[in-house]
Amino acid sequence: MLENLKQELTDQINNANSLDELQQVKVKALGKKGSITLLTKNMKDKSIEEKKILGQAVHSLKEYIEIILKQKELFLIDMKIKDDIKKDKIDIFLPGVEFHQGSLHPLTITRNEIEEFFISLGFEVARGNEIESDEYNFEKMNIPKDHPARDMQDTFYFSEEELLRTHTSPMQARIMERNAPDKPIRVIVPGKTFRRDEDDLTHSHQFMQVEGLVIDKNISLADLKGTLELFARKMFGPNTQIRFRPSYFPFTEPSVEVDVTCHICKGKGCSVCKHTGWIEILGAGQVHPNVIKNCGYDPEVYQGFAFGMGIERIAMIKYGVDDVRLFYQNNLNFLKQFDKLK
Amino acid sequence: MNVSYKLLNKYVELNNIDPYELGDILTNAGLEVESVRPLAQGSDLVIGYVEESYPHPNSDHLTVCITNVKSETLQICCGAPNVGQGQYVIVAKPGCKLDYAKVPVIKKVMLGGVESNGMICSLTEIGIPTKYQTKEQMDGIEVLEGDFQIGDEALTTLGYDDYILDLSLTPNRSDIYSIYALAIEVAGLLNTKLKDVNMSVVNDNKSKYKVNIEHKDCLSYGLFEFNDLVSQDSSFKTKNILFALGFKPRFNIVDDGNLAMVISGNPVHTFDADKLKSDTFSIRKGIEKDDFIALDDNKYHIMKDDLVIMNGDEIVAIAGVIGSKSSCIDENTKNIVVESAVFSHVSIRNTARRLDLFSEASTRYSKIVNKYTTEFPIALLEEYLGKKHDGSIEVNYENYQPLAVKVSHQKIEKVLGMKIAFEECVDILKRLSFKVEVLDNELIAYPPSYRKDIELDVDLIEEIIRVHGYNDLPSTLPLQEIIYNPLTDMQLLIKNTKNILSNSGLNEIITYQLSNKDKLDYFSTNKVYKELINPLNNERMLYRDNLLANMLETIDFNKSYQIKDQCLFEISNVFIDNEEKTYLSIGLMGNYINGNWHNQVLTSDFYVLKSIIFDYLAKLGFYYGRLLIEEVEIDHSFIHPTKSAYICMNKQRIGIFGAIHPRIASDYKLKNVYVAQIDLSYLAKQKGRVNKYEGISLIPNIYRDLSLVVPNDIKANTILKTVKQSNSKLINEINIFDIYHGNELEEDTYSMAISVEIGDGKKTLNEDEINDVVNNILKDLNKKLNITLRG
Ligand SMILES: [Zn+2]
Repeated sequence: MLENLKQELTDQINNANSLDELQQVKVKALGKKGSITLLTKNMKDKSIEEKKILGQAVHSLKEYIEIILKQKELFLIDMKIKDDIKKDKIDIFLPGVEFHQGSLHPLTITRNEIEEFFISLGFEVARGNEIESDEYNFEKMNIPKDHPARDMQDTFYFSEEELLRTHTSPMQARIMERNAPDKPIRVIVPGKTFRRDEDDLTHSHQFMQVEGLVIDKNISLADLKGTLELFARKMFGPNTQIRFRPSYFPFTEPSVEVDVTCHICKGKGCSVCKHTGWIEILGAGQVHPNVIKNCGYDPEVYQGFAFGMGIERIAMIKYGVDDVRLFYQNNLNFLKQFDKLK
Repeated sequence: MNVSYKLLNKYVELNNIDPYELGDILTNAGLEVESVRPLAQGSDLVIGYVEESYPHPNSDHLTVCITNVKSETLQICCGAPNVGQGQYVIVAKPGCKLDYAKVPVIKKVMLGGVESNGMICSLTEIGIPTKYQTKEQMDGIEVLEGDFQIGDEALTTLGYDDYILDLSLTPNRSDIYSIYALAIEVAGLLNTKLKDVNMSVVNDNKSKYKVNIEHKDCLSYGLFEFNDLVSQDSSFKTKNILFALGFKPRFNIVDDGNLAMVISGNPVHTFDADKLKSDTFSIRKGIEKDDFIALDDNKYHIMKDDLVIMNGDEIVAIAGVIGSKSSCIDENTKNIVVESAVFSHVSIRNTARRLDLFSEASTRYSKIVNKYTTEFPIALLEEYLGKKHDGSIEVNYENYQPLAVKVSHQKIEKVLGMKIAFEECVDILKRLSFKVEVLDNELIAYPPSYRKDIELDVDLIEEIIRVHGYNDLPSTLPLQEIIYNPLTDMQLLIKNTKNILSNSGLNEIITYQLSNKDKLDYFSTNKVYKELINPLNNERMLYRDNLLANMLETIDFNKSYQIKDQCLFEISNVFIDNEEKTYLSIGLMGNYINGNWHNQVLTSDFYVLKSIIFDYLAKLGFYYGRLLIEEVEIDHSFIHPTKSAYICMNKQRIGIFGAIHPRIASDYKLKNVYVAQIDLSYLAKQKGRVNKYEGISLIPNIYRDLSLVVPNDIKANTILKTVKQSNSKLINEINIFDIYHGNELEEDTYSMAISVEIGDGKKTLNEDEINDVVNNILKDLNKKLNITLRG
């Protein structure tokens, strides 16, 4: 009889197609008036021996039914979840919330990249005023009043003595004076600079510069080359080569222009590098002894290098921008094209 | 500066290095060659002879020319008015390529029914720019003067087989504004020999003229007389050299003077001796004259600081800049007096700049001219004029002492950071015409007189490495003690601000520091600006005192590109209250979040801007409480007085935000533009709060929603404060979730719905305790603010 009940309940459990149906079977078997519950109730008039045997049989039947009920229940829950998932399908191709995409200006991105490189080499970053004195912008940089180099960088003046800095060098002079006469220096000065140029494809009356200065007892031109070589590789790729060409700046001697191998054609020659394989990126040199002296160090003991680069120029080379004015027009369709982490 | 390859080759052995290769060598040595190009261009041009010419039967401007080119006789139809029988001409045969001609490849054609086999060339067609030509040359073909071999290759025969190197010189090498100085440089670079040249003249100081130098800005003054000259056209070869150098040929005296200047680097000025009224020259300053008529027929104003040349009591030249009309040479001149002088370059440059007169001469004089070779241009003039001078006088203001510059081998290697043999250093300097003395490991160099740029040991080191080449300079890194210099508070603030705002959906802009008064005035508080004394134009003459003018201009600019939704910010310096400060500006227009199938649009307004600002400030550690907002004056000039606020910290106004004033909005035809401007210089000096862990409550909070009727003049901050103060221990947060203005409400009231978060964090509150809190809120609101519960 127990065997029949077991088979009957097993069939009912197997046939249950929903959690509701299963619940009904469960109540029918194990509820207060369930068939298994009734079996135990009906044992009152049995002998102890019979009770013992029957009790064990009912107990194991109950255990068995409970297990397969649980299994079936888990199965049906799983079925239901799978079923619900199918019903709950969304169109993943619909657009999400259109948050406004913010961005850093391409000159900021480039400047950050340059700053991060030099910070990793232990450079200090200094920030100076844009309105400067003739003394710091020119005189201390070995460019006296009637020096021909003053033609090279035509200057915006507020008065005889006050001007818009034509380079970030005035801050270099201030740092040197702060550290003179014997503290070593390792600094970059990024910032806005100004030249009295008409704006065109390659000229902007306002532009950004990063200058670097390293002063100590034994800082050589070879150290400049090593530093700039690492820099060029960080900015333009690991296989970038650099070359020095002699040049002239009043504040350095020897002075060099620094070229990097063209990252577009890898040195083979293309329109970007005017078919030379090289692109000029900055000017540099050993700090002129007059500058070192003007700023409070003894040029017989202290020497070092300085370099200056235009951030626009680096950004134009990196991003292939062909008109410097775009950086200052701030067309949003332009600005948003640089909004990428590298 | 244009350099003729052939002329250069006259002074230095070039060892068959072609002009293009020479250009690269010079560029690599710091003398940048911008371009190298042939003087004239054309393949297979030959010299022809017009044997017969007659008018074209069907055209009134063509001439039919039967032209002998030795290998054949060509019938050519020529349109030049000056073509004619018996002329030697330059002929382009069929198949010839002419880059500068209207038809670049010459073909056999029929012109008006007559066959034409080739072209007779003008100078323009072989590539000589019209600016160097006479009117006749521009209008017609080039008629060759003299005897020629018919059929000879034309460009070589006529001296057009030259190349032009265009040099862009750095200011320290103004000595190179001389072909001869360049020749010396090239000899050093190529390690080749200079060719012999006569640089001096027999100067017997016998002259009828007397010279008085009365100002120290004239360092040396010489006069050289040449008598019985014949004015005539310069030779073909001279003309071609002038073309290559970029000069327009005139007549022999002028042309030869120009050549002497370009080769020696020293300008000369020529007076017509017969037009001079006195035998006494004086060079002085201190004269003012407002009607000096110069040889270019213009009237110039001479000031007291200009150095002038006087002949008797007449000004015959503004020294180094331009001569007088009354003393200048012309095609009839026979006797000349040539001035070869050295003036202070500063004085000449100031005068040339004031008069805006930068000629070949004044440009050279404005640089540092080779000081002690006043004889060299005269020697060249003698060569080109073909005769010696007839009398001369030269006066010097001071005597030249050659400079001795010392450098040790150790210093050379220390500055360069590389090993270089001492012998090579000495050799390089000698190759550049330095006199060198060697003492153990030290050398003393005496630079040639024209190398005014050599003063210090490092100048010698530059010469050495420049000629040695930078290719084997090693790459090392500077070894130094470690220096700790973290970013300053200001640098960190700028960096953080840019990152926070760009992550809040704002686009960074960078605009110009220079602007104009009209634009700045809109947003200026005191309208006092730093003004340039030499602006480029009216648009950019003031250094700005605010960032909002450019912000609005940028928004307007982008709107013209149909970009409606804009969220911008800028960080930049301004000059205000007599110092340079760093400001932040924000500008919003259009949508902050665009609506779509999924979510509603969020249009930028006062509250969006407020959230952006206070979220940004909170991330910096500045919270509401320390920061407050304050209403703006009703007569504010640039911000909408009732849709704006000041941001205050420590009782200071550090910023302002809100809608732009309707007056400005209407001027710019912009709607719903919201801006902010915050003083970062002030903010950088403040320390933001560093948050401490406050523990986490495990007891759930309870929320009660209250719908209130509020008198119109009661502002949100007062309500929130009153609610909070009614039981500050148990009330944690208050959220305003609805504001409603409607007619069915009592007059002069509005409805506000708030949700109050209640809990003490330690135990669960029972219903009575919660009701007490709510009743207290309502009691206080009613008593203090006349606010009631909505019925
Ligand atoms: Zn390339």
